Amino acid sequence: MDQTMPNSSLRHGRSIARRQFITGASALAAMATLPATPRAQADTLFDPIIPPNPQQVYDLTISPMACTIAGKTQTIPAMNGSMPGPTLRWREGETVTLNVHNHLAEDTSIHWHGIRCPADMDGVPGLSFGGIAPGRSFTYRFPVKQSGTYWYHSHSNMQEARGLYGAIIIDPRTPPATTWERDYVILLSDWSDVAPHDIMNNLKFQDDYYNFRQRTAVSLVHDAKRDGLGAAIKNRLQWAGMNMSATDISDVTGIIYTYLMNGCTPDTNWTGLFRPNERVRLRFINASSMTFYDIRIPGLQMDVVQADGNDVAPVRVDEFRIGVAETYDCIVQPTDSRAYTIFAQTEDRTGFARGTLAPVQGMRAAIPPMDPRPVRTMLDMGMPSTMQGMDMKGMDMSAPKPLATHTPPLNVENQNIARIPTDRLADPGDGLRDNGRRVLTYADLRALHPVADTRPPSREITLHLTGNMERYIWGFDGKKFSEAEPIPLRLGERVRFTLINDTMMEHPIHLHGLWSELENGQGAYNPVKHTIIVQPGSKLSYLVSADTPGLWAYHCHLLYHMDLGMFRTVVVS
Amino acid sequence: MSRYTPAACAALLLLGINLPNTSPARAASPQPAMAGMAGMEDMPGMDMSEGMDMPAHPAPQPTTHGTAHPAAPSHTAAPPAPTTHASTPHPATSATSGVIAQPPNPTTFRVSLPPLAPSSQWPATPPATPVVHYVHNMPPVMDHSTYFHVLMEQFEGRYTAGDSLLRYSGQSWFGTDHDKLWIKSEGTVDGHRHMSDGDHEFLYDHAISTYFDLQAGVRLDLDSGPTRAWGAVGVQGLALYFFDVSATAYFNAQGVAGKLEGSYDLLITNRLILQPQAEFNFYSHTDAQRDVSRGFSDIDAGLRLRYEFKRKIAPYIAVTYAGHYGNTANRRPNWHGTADNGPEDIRFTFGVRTWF
Repeated sequence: MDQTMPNSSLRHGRSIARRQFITGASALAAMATLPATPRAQADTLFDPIIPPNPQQVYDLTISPMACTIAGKTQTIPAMNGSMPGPTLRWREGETVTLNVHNHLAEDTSIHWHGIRCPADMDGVPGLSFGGIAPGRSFTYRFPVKQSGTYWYHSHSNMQEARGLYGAIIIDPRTPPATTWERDYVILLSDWSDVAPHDIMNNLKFQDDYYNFRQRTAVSLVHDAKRDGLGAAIKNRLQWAGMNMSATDISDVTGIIYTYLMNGCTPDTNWTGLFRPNERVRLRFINASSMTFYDIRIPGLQMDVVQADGNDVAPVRVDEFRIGVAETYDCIVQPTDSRAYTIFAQTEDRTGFARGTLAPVQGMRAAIPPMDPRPVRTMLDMGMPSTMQGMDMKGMDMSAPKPLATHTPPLNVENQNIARIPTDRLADPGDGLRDNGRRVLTYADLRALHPVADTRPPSREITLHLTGNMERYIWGFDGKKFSEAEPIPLRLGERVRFTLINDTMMEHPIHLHGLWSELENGQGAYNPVKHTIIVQPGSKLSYLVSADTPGLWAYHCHLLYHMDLGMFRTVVVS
Repeated sequence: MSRYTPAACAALLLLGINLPNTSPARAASPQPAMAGMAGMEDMPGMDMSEGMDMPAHPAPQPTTHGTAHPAAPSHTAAPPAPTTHASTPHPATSATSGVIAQPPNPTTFRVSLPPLAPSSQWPATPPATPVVHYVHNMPPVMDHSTYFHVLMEQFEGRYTAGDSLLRYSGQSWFGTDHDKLWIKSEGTVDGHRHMSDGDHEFLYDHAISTYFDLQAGVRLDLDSGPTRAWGAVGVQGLALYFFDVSATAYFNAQGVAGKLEGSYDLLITNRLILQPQAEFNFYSHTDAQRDVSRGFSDIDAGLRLRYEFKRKIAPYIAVTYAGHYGNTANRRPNWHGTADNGPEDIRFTFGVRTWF
């Protein structure tokens, strides 16, 4: 609670009292059982959750806190007594000091996701520093060289699955490229009262432990009615013959997860206020452990203006998918004086997070039904040529295939090889194709400002994303972290990372400390990201300028994939 | 340990095991994402099963193609007009009324990537891999942990009037992804507290392929009968089409033996699961004291219908069969309870499958 530091109180003295109120109010709101009324400040420009001014010094205390969500109470590691943690607001060009105090009985750490800081400030135990022991403090201090929407989370002992995360807003040094009258953080997370280690243990025993939507004898009857018995059986045989499940969308599902928006359950209904015709900036952050969301606001179109903290040329969409750890900033402009539902259904359609934009507190709009759940296809297996029903004529099968420079073995840790990896940058993703809505794809993203480093890459690093669902082992190139060598980069080098996803799940791949410039054909305006979804069976590439020395984590941001091996150390030296 | 589609049973019944090895292209069937969405739902409180209509949604924004995106505007306070798809390099991404929900030409890569441009300063070869010293020798993720699991696949009463049996069969393992200590134990106890078929194995388990483990160790036949000890070598794993199988060879001074086990989980719903299971035993010699015959000696099989209230606790009803063959089939020592019901023993059974 002690956030009013001397220098900021000098500079922003008048806002102190208000900020103190705000801190308390956001802590209340984080308990998630109260309606949002304490935060109702319809006449202020900012949602109270976003501090009104940037601050250079923060004291962040992590301590155990009893938290009740969906009727279940558990003790969680909470920052400054709130879940999600407080929103930090910084200013580009300033140096921030973050004093993190550990009042837990276990080690902790805070990683500033997407922040380009020195390696020893990155907050990954083992790589950046030794972690923060119980009763100890650690001071992070680094210059802020970027602006936009980011987030932070623990990198210790799966604490990020238990609520230790929050938003970071960085004001740009120059005037922003767009304007808005109202600003909200929309932080999405998945919440369970099952301990993360138990979830991992269960997945190790039975990979589909949480999947209660598999194909069954009963569903065969329905499938046969629709497709014919022969086709339905054939399709099942095809999947069974690979020991794969077409219904494998999410490893952990709504059977144990409650999906939260700004710490509020769908019933609690987080509400952001607006006046008609205002431009409202919504800063979506996916702080989940294992969940992708498909987000839309029925009745409103969204202009995507920023991805992973970097401005993009505005793209008007009805819907977008946000992978774990990604951020998207959207501007909406509601003209009617009515409520709008912010609807974030999970990719597997086992639940949703929900909030409301409304002119006054208490208004609510209809919640749309969830879409049909996606079912994986041979495209997701990297075998598009085995699909019927595709327009094969348009496909030049004789063209040289984008061959991988190497293929990983099929072994204990790898179940599949995407024989014909595909370009899915223009594909909104499984469950979003041809749904009648305009859905964002990676091909739509175009940076607003050209990248600073325009050199072509000098070399290419090709990695396959691999895994064995049955044994629940994940890795790169058929090896988990503990068996693999680190990835060396020369300081100053510019390198192409090419990723081929041999698994049948999306993986949000996050490179710490360095930007990932997605090669989607925009040249100098390729979008710059920190987390890139690689769709199943697909291949993509991005450029990395290794401009900051040190040990950097490189991993899939699905928590249990990371902890079970889909992780490498990148060494810049 | 896995979920299975009923398809493989259909395959067995209709086609035989080998037939589905057709080329992928021929075996493929249309599975467009949208068309395939009407699967079975078995989530309490969620009703999203087949027949779902698309929800009402706003009409798709008319797409304006063609305008090449201008150079990015410099920093300006004025919001740039949102371009609808203006920078889309792939016109085919616009929503169509098509039912087949596939991205266009997925094997054609839209983007021609700038070629690599190595130089003497920045060579195309990777630098030497450095030795990384983790702070406090603490790796950032612990992906090499040990796990401990116990699976009591069968814990059941097998009923007939006057002489019911208690049967159990379980296994437990402790270790890493690659190396484990694996214990298997099974046995049958009758109403006179005589135990038969007591087979206890202590194995070292090593993962050898995507789905299979190699196991080696000892087997002790330890029950109310005379004790026998064997060396054991076998494989256990998941055959294609989601069959759980194991095959183990045993050897000692008297001869050799073999055991084949298999089971299959047929999902009727996501919680109601029918599991056919069978165990076959072979011996190179007759051991009358232990009731085993030369050659194909005995079968223990069951057809179990379980309901997974919880994944870890699933009660079941079953029909079980225990059959003895060969020259010991009809001569049963007094201590052995199973003889009372004859060599072909079919019983109504109920029990519970648990694991942790």
